Amino acid sequence: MKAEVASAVRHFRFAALLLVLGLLTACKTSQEAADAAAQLTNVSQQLTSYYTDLSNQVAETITLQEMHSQLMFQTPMDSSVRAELNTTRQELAKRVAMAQALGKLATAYSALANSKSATDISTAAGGLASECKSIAPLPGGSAIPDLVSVASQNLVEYIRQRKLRKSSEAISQIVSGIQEMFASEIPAYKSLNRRRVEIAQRVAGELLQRDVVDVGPALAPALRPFNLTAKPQPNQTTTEMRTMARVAIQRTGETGIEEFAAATDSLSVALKAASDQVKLAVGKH
Amino acid sequence: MDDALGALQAQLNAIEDALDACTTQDQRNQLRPSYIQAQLNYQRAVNKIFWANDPKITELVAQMKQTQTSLQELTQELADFAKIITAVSTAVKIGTELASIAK
Repeated sequence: MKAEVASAVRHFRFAALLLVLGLLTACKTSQEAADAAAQLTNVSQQLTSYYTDLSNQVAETITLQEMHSQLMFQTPMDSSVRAELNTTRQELAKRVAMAQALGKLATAYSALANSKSATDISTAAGGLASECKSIAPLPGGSAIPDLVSVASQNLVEYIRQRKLRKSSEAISQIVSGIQEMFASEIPAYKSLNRRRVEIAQRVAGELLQRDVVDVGPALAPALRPFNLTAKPQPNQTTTEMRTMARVAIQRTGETGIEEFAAATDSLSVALKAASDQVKLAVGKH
Repeated sequence: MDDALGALQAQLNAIEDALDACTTQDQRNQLRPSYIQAQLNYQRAVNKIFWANDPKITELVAQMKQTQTSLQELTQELADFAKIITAVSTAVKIGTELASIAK
């Protein structure tokens, strides 16, 4: 009888050890998936903002081209050029929708990775086992509630882990696809930004040339610290002021182009990092 | 493609420089057809890059929606599972109480 009890205890301990090990593995996968989901959410938001901004830049380019056409030819911009620019905006709208779909996917992925379903089910199973235990003829003794509770939690974690791995595999391919597409279009993104800045510089230069620009605000960095403001020019802007404004237009434009290029490269890197993080959750990184 | 786009943009800039250098409106008007063509060439080259990826975007969005639905369904199924066990637990409790009354 003593040997039978010792054997039962050994089996129980072995089963408990397996359950704990299983839970630990599942928790690791869930944590990696939760980290990947957080990173994915962040990068999808960056991507949505990026494409929305680029679409707005193209809208601004249309306005600037219209101004340029009026200044140069006293006529509206050519309708076929406008149509091509509108096509560009439609293409960017597709990319905004794609980035938003990535955001929704990240939310669903995060919901599963952070779901407390395993704990809820474990609690519910524990409750059920307690009720079953109160039925007098049911065999098994006091170990049943604990075992049922832990086993059900382990089972749910196992199901979730398998599903997370499978989903992570699919998501990894999706993010890699988006990253490759983004990288292939980087020259077009940077070029669209450059085009907007350059046409803005042209229009600003022409307006400056026609002396219809108040250059006072450009002097603010020098005057503001001393609570001073520029005095409006009585007749026309001086040559020095115009030269100074031209330099400011050139430099600000160049800075804007450089910053956008850096932001584009940084987003490409972030997409790659998100893809790698999802691969970690797959377990084949 | 980067080089081609850069070349088209440079061509556009060169015509715009020429427009800025014009001294009469007539000179500018003469340049207008070339300017419009250069604008079209550049914008079409940009759109061509985007069109090339259109099928990929459609495919990726479809995959994302499918995976999202699958994840949401499983999350819901797991949540429902807990509810079912709780309901069964309540039923057993009631059954046990009924059985004790019947004794």
